[in-house]
Amino acid sequence: MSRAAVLFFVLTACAEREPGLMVSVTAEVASPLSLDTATLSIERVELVRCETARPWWRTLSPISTAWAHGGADVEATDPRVVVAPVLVALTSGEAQPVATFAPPPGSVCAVSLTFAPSTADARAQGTTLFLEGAGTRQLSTRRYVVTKSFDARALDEAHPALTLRLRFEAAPPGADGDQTLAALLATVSVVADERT
Amino acid sequence: MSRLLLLVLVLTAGWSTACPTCTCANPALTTIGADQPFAGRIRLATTFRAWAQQDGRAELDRAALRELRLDLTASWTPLERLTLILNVPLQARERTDVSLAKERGFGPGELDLTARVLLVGAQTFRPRHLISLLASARLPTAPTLHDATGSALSLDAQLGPGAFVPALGVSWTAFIGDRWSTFASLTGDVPLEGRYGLRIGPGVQVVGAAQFQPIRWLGLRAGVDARYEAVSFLRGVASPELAGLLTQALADVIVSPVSRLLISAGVRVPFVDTRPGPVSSTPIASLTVLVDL
Repeated sequence: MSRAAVLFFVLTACAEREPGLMVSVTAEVASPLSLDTATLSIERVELVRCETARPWWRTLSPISTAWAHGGADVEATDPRVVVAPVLVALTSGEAQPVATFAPPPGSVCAVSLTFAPSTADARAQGTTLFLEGAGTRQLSTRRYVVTKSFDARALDEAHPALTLRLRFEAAPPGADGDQTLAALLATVSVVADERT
Repeated sequence: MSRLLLLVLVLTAGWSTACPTCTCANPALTTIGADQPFAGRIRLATTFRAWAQQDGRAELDRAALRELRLDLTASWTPLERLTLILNVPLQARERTDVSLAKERGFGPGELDLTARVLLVGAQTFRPRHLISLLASARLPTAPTLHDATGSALSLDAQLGPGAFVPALGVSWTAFIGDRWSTFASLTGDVPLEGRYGLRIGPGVQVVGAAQFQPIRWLGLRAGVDARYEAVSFLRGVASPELAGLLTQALADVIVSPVSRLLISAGVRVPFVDTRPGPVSSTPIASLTVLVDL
């Protein structure tokens, strides 16, 4: 019996994984366009922390905080930043995944979206906005950074999941691609849904 | 294969009923490795340890590790000059990443086999000095841990690097009267490539301690445990974060409530750490129970 116990103890190995904090960003087009192709390129998504007051003891400290590494390295490893090109199909009314974050604990208050010429998907043909069909062909290669705020949402063990739903009101094409893109981005709104 | 070997060893092993001389003239309370060997001596020990470490940059890639570890150690001296030491760890480890995602693993760790060859101090009833040569090998016996979906845990959550680690060293124990003893050792190891293509940098470890026994059954030990480790490589890419010198102060209280039983409780507190990290290690608490058969 004791040998069996020793064997069980020695030979047994087990493991488990428990998910952490997660923020999903999706895009929905309220009034999809009836075109053959209509794409909007998002190159970068960032969760923006709520501004927090500096603790009083930090103001007394003569030692400043320094990063051992910086610049592109921090950008590449910042869990609040996703640099991955994604195309939003403006012809679809369904929720489309844009980015998923595994961020550190803290509160987030906004999401920053960088709309820029697509670097990864041939359907967009290197454009930010590409519309084609029904006798229309428009494109824009402009770059916009749009930051949309929402009520502060805590991310911690009690609030581990959050979904940010981006909503676009796709209007009929304007005079040219740049104008259509500007009009489209003016309609972006964000809804924060907390999941438990 | 290693599990099969372990299975055979456990099934075929019998409990020893040999009784070594307990009237050994040296009154120093010694743990395995620092003790006076004599033919037939068998010692068994369990050491419970708890430690934690944080590495990485806050808000970016910080990960926290914590571990509870039980080392089962047996030492056997078949010849007066030769002692064989086997150490089998059982570990429970948890890794928490920057997003609070956790990986937990439990199981046997990596087995250590050590041969200690006594160069100075043999065939003496009460030697003042014991100088030994140490040769050891850590074997990659910790299985690769997988979660319920079959995906392997990260490298840091595994219970060891999964590498063969040969080591060589020398140790010196000095007994000064009935109340004082000192211990020093110097070992170097050169890990081979292990799990996920990790090759931990070669390391040198120095331990130095002095022990005072105000009364026969009580020992107080203090010293330094320092390790320097060269740069590690992960799939051929240098990973210098944990390379450097980590020096810890050690303090132990050793009691022997009855003959053949020794209990030691101690702590190791980091005080010089040149590893670029960023990394921080907590003090390590330990409790050892040792029996002379």
